Parts: sequence; structure tokens; C-alpha cells
Amino acid sequence: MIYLFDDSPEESRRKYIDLDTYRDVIILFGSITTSKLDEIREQLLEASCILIHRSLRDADNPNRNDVFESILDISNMGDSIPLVVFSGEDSEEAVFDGDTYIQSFNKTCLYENLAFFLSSFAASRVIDLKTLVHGERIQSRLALNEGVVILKKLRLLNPNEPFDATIIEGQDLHSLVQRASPTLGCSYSDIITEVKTERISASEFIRRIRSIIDSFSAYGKNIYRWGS
Amino acid sequence: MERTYIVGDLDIKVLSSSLGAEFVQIPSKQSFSSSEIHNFMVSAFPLEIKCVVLDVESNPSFCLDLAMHIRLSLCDLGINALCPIVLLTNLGIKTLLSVNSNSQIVLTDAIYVSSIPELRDRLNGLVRLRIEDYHRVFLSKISINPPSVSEFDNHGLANEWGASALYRAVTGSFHGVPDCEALREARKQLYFKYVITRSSDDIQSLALQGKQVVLKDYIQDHLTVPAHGRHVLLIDDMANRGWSYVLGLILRGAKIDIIEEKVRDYNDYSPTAKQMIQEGEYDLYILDLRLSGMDEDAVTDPMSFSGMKVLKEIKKVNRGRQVIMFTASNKAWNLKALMHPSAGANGYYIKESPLSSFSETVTRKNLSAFCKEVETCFQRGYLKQFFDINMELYPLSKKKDKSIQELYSQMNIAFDCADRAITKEQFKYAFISLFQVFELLIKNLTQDNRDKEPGKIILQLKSRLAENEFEWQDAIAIHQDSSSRIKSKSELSPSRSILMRYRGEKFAVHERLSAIYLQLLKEEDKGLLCLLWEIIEMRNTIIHGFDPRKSPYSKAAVRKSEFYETYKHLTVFEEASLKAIIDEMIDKEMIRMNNDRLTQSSYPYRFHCSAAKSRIGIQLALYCLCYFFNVYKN
Repeated sequence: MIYLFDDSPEESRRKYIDLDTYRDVIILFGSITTSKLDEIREQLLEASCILIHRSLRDADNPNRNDVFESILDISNMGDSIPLVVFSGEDSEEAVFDGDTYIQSFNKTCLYENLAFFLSSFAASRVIDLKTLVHGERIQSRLALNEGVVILKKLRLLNPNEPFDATIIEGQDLHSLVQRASPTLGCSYSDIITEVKTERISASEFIRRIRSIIDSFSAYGKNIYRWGS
Repeated sequence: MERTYIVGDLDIKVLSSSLGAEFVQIPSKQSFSSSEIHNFMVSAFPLEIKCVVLDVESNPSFCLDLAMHIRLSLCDLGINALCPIVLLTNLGIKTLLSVNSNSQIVLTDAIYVSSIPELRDRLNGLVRLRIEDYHRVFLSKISINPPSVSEFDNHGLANEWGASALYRAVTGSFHGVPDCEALREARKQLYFKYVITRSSDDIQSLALQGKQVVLKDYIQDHLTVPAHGRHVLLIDDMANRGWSYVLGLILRGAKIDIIEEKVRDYNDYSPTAKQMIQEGEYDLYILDLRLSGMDEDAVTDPMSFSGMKVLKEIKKVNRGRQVIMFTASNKAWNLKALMHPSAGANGYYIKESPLSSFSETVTRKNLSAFCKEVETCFQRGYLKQFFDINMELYPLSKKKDKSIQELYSQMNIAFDCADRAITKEQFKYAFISLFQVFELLIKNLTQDNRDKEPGKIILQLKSRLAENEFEWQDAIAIHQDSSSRIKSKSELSPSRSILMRYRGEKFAVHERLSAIYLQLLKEEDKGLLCLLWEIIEMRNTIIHGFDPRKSPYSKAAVRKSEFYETYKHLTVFEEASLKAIIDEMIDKEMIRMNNDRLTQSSYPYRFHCSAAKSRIGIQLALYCLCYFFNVYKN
């Protein structure tokens, strides 16, 4: 079960998600007292994930945030239970501290992606915080991240000359090729071999990578074969 | 000298060298807050900007955020904000547009996309944005959402915006550097910059005024209130998010205390805060309608707002306390509830929010209206005295003494009149109501004894011997003459003939009051008599429409010695004190001394009873009444 702690009014949340639809996977708490937190502590320790608003105040004393601090302790800052701290004033770019703790994430973005995150969790019972960060566009975002790393390695090279394959070898190309498959029509090692043997120019390689990234941006998937 | 800047990771530095550009390295970080990007921008471009090249592949989000910051930073960069921006990237346009919410800048003018091989040629053909086109080709094409949608968060940045809008109104621009960290930080937010430019009446001036100039001390005095010696209490859970600072600029010289605790109800306050509210003597209370730090939009009954509950407690201590409510709500029923007599607010100010921000002109008008309300509240401070006297009388009014009950009732009437007075006529009416308290005092404490000494009327005062024991003591005596009040001048000295003509067969109100204060209360400060005289004059002016041209005194010229002679028979005065009184009356221009002759002053203000003068009259009357009750109760 995922626990959401946010004292925002329900009417504003409904603009993005009707949490009743996901009551099998998520429980919402507004601000709660420290005594109430003690009551639910045991079940909270079994949580799959905790999402908590940074400015959550104690229900019995709006000048204190003991509940917020306690929940962070319960999750052990993401080590025991995946934890996401969000706020309206945070950046759209999530700040990860490891894979299971997001230190800051924009509140609006969170709610925009929450439905997709909950659906994914309901289907797989696996918590992937990247799903919450990127939502339905997760494939295109990850493709962009991987593609940008690759392009960065090539941009200062002579565009018309072949280049050393070791420049592009690495996890990012591997992940991008996997993501773009099977439509891409070749494997990571195929590409490395091609670069080594057929001596593709830097500009041509950049063009092909850009096609893949653009395809993900436009369609959420790759529609191109390698080299097309 | 204009420079081209290239912003990116360290590996791009070689490119800047070959192009003769300045290299600026992007810090290594996962994510950047708006403040961090702003700080980076301000430090990265120290010189005039010819062009900025952003290496997107180094950090796509950062580069697009920075581009948007540059364009919206007219206050901070001046016309440099209009520089051409090149996005150095191999990504396609569609991909660029999907990076983040600031990707929309790609579709605006003076934004170029280039790969590294094309860059040199590209740099030759760049065009700056023109300020005249700023709105059309840029501002109208973008939309920046608030960092938190209003329904989600009614505080935070919205408060800073409200305070900043006031700051702009007071200082005339956003170019000043407020001496308040909350406001300085807020202005680094992208959304803030967006609202500033959108709400600006003159974008051209905004840009042409250039980079930040320290204008900390530049305050437009006509949009402030002189408040030296005034003590103000600000009750707002967001007080230190800019409000206390800006109010300090507006209320010049005021001492401002703050209660910043978040509460849902008065009882949630700490003992210290409660003590300030209960016992503090403030000239003005500024109170926010929502104090809990949480959304109170679900509240349907205006009286249930946290601020309304605190208002009730403030007024419970003293109805005369002056309270201006701060509210972000513009809902008519909430505002109406604030001003209802049952709530008792003396004014309100609507805090601007980014989602309902006004133009600079409207903000200044609102500020001007607020300043007027503050001045009115300061003037109405005398109402606290009113209520203090009421509180003094209240236990006494429970006794069976009808005279005290009558006094209490009349004080209540006078208080209500003064509390509601707005127009000149209403203030006059309030003053007359209050004057009736004096008349009740006279009625209860004086009597004319015509039997004690034949041929004389003696004014007697009710002097208390013990708890319920009184005696009548003699104060003033005059000769009774029932046949004719006016004696010929040959029979009486001129001064006495004037006195007789004016008095008739009864003692004048000022004589009765003088007797009460000087003999009964044994008041040593004879200046009080002058105040009484002023109050009586004011009352007569209002009731009788006193015309100075027809005043019997206006043509009278009485020698000082004769004036002195006239009053000598009043047993209430001692010789030395009478001289002091006359001197004080001369000082106050109530009478004039000219060649040893005294004449009634023709100082015009005394005969024109404006609302302001009625208000002064009320204050003087209250002073006298306060004195009376302080002494009499003992």
C-alpha cells in the first residue's frame, strides 16, 4: 500500500486524480496528530511507498511538524521504505538520493503523474519512482536522458570523420538500444561493430541517435530501424 | 563592451576559446531551484551581453530554464535580457519542445538552434529582441504556471507577491533591493518575474532602468503614513515573509510588534502572544484573516475564519481598538462580514496574489486607500479612552444609583455615535452626545441654592463625605436680580455688565464645570479649565451656530485688570491661579492681549466645526472625563 500525506483540499486534487479509484493501492491522510501517527505506525512500517508534502504540519499544532519528521524516520530516509518528499515550490526535476528516495519533487508534476504511477504499481506491485517522476512519458524521458549522454560525447568530434567506438561504448547506449528494440532491428554489439568496421562518421551517428530520441518524443516509442 | 557567453560543461570550454567567447561552466547538480538559476544568471553575465550560447547537451533542463530566466529578468539584466540566445544542440525541435515546461521559449523570437559545426556562421546572423516587440513576440506566447496552484497553497509565494506588490508601490519600482530576505528570494522565482512583467504598466521603463540599483531608501512619501511614536501590532502567520518589512516602510517611524504563530483559534496562541493581545496598548492592529497556515477556503461561515476569532478577542478587551484586516479573499460576503458591527473591523486591505494581481496603477490606489484607513484608525485612537471609561462605569452602573446608570447609558450612546461617525455631521452628533455626559455631571453634582442667602444665588457642589453620604458645599455666588438682567453701564463696570448680560440668572456651564473640577476635585492644573472652555465653545458653535461676527465678545475689549476683577468673586479661584488661567488662555489664543486689553480671540477655527475639530473636541472631552472619573471614583 502507498501512503500519501498531504493536507491540500480534496477539490484541488480531483483536478488531477480521483484517489477513490485507486483506494486499493493508496491511502490518503491530511494533516494528522502525533497520536494518530502512533496508531498507524505499525501499518505504515509495511508501506510500499510514502509520499509526503514538505510543509505538512501537525493537526494539533500548526506550528510544529513532528509528524513529518517522524514519517521520515519511519521510512529511514527511503532506505526502509521508498520515500518521496514534494512541494509546490520544488523544481520539476526530481532530486534523487539513490533509487528509493526523492528529496524534492514538484507537487503539480507529482499529481499529474500519480495516476500512471498507481496504475503501474497496481499492475506490477513494484515501486519505480522514475514512473512517478516521468509519468506516461517515462520512455521518452529515459530515451532523452540516455541519448543526450551519447550526443554529448560526439558533439565536439569532427563531424565528417569516423570516430573511435570506445567513445560511445557504455550503459547509456546499451539502454537506449534496448529501449528502441525490437523496431531498431539491431543489438548494441551490432552497432559497436558497425562503428568499428564501417567507420560511420560522427554526424551520421548523431543523426541516427537523434532519430531515435525524436521518435520517442513524438510517439513514446521508437519507430525507426537503425540506419534508416 | 558586449561579450558572447557560452554556458555548458567543461568540455565545451575549448569551443569558447576558438570563438573568442566567455565560458561559463554549469554547476554539477541534479536539479536547480529557481533561486539557484537566478543567482547563476546574475553572476554569469557581468558584462553587457551580445549573445548567450547554451549547450543543451550539458543539461537540457537547466539550459531551457536559464533561457527563460534571462528573458524574464528585465529588472535584473535590463536590456541584456533581450539578447539573442542560441541553443547549442543536436536534438530535434520536437524533442527540445518536450524537455520541460520552459521549452516553450523555443517558439519565441530571438531564440536560435544550432549544432556546433554551424555555430560560427550562426553567430553572425543573430538579431536581438526589441523592447517594443517584447510583449507581442515573447510575453504573449508564453505561460508560466505558479509554482503551486492557488487551490493547493494559499500561502508561500502568494504572500511574497502581495508584499512585493506593495513594495513596488511604495518605492516606485521593482528595481530597489528590499532589505528583506523573503522578498529578495521570492523575486528570484521565475513565476515572480513573469508576473512582474505581465503586471508592469511600462515594460520599456522596466528594461531601460537597467540592472538592479540599490534604492533601499527611496520611498514615495505620499504613499506612506507618518507614524512616529505609533505602536502597531501585526498578527499574521506570514509576517516575516515580507509583510512586516513593507509595513515598516509604509508606516514611517512606527514600532511594529509581530505575532507570527499559526493558529486556528485564539486559544491556540502561546501565553506571550495572548499577553500582547490582552494587555498591549497599540494604536493599530493589523490582522490577517487566515492564520492557520492551512487552507481555509472550505470555511463557509466568515465568522469561523481563524482571524475573525482573534478579532473578536481583540475587540473584547476594548471596542475602541482599531483593527485593519488583511485578507487574500475578495469574496464580497467575507468582506461584508469583516465590516459588520458584530465583527468590528475598522477597515480591510486585500492582499494581491499572483493569480489576481493588479496593474501598478491599481496597486498604488489600493495602497493610497490603505494609508487613508491607517490615518483614520490613528485618529480614532481616542475611542479606546471612551471604552476604558465605559469599563470603569460598568460595575458602578450595576449599583442602584440612577445618576451613574444614566451616565453609563449616555456614555454608551456617545461611544456608538463616535464609533460609527464618518461624516462631519456624524462627528458633531457624536460630540454633542458626549457633551451630554458633562451636562449629566452638572445635573447630578450641582444645584442652585436661592434660599440660603436672600438676594443671592449660590452654586453648590455635591461633595461626598463617605460611601453614601454627601453634603452640599458652596462654590460661587451671584446677586439675584429678577427685574432686569442688564444694568446700565453707570451702575456696573463694563466687565460686569457684559457678564450679567451673558449670564442672566443662572450660572454658565463653564462656571459649573470649573467649580466641579477646581473646587470639588481640587484640580491644581488650571489649564484644564481652558480645555473645558474650548469644549463648551465647540458645543455652542454646533448647537447655536455661533457666528463670530455677532459674538458679544468680538467687539468687547476688556482690560486685563477688569477681567481679573470680574472673576475674582468666584470663590473657586485663587488669585494666583486665575492669573495662570488667563495666561494660558492667551497662549491658546482663546483670548487676546492687546495693550493690556483682553479681547475674545477671532481665531477662526473655533467657530467652524469640521469633522476633524469635532474629533478633537471629543478627545478633549474624553480627557476631561477621564480625569473626572479617575479622581471621583476615589
